[in-house]
Amino acid sequence: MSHPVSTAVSPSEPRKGLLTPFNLISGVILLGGAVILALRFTRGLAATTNLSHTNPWGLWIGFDVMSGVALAAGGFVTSSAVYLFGMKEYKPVVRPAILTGFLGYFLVVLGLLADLGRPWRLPYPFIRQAGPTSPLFEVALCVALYLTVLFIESTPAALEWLGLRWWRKVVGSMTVALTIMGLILSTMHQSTLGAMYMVTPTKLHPLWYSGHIPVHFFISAVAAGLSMVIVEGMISHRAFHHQVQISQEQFQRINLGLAKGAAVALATYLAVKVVGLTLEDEWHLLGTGWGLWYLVELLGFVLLPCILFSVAYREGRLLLVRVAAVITVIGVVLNRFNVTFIAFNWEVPAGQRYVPHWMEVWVTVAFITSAVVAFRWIANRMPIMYEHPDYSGMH
Amino acid sequence: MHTLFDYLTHTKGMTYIVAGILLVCFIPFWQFLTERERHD
Repeated sequence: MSHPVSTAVSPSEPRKGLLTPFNLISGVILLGGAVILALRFTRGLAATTNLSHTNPWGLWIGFDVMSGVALAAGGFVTSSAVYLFGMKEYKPVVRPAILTGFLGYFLVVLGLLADLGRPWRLPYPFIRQAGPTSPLFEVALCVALYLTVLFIESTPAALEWLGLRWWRKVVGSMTVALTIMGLILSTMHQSTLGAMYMVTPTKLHPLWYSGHIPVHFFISAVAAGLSMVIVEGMISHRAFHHQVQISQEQFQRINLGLAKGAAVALATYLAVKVVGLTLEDEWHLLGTGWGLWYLVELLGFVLLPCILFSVAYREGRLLLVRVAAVITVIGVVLNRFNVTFIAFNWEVPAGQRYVPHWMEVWVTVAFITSAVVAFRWIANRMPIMYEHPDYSGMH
Repeated sequence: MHTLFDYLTHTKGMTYIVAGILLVCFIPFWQFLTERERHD
């Protein structure tokens, strides 16, 4: 068996002790999350959430599943750009994006298990299911398959770290096939998450409800994925600066290219939404309170970042790209929240409306923290932010 | 507007107009976005 690659080969900084402020804070968050999850599984949802028969889906679905899947879309977008559309200049961001996507989708499954309960029934959709006409079954199938695809796409870094050259070659030869599968599966489940709400025309506010909601979800996922790659790159570039091999100029060019893609995606999303408003004859609803909230989402978190991305790309301004990316990420999360529990059940009396319990928020923060901790652990050891010299030029 | 058909014809017609305007607007948007590439 090959020996693991020594740390002298990988440009990692000297290891600090365990009791760093980051480790202590994340430890407290994770411990609290574990305690709350134990309460959830022993005492039920009522003990730890504000979910009810009226509001069966809350923060764990709205953020962990809906927003998590959208924000993890950077994996299929960047890998398709590089391996299918030949945009090789974006290769340095593929591995971090794939890893972010894998951890993101893993957390989607964890969030789903926390909400559903009975985790031993996770394989049931493949054994006993409502049939191929069920959007929820399609989401379960595609997310499970895509998580597998992402896992395999993430293994080259681990295999290089372990020095398993032959296995690394085998997985590398599957790259294009995996990327095609990832693109198809992502297109399916990103849109179907929206399609699930097509059975709720009486519950979801008309401004957010549409016969084209699957299209809305897919296009916004593309914008969210590109923005998340920019945000993740912004943080990783600083945190792992000692590993980064690309020049500042190349990094800027990559981010500007992502900004161009995000600008087009957001412009397309805005156009589809405006056409939808006209087709459904809903312009008059913009004058209501809900209409104002809709305009906050559409103008403040779609039009504004679209303009910022466009100006940033045109003038080559990296800071503006980052600001626009953060706004887009917040905007997509806001859209998913609106569809899941803010504009959902909009006619229910105020006293019965859903507000997340603090324990739900803590668990969500704990899931995000676990992803950050895992990303940090992997990126500190494996060739994520740099190209391993023994495998340069390979997929 | 008296019938559902009238209503749908009206909204479809408006949608075609809006979609056409948006498609035309995409041209100056693309030119604005890619001006730096043309200069470079």
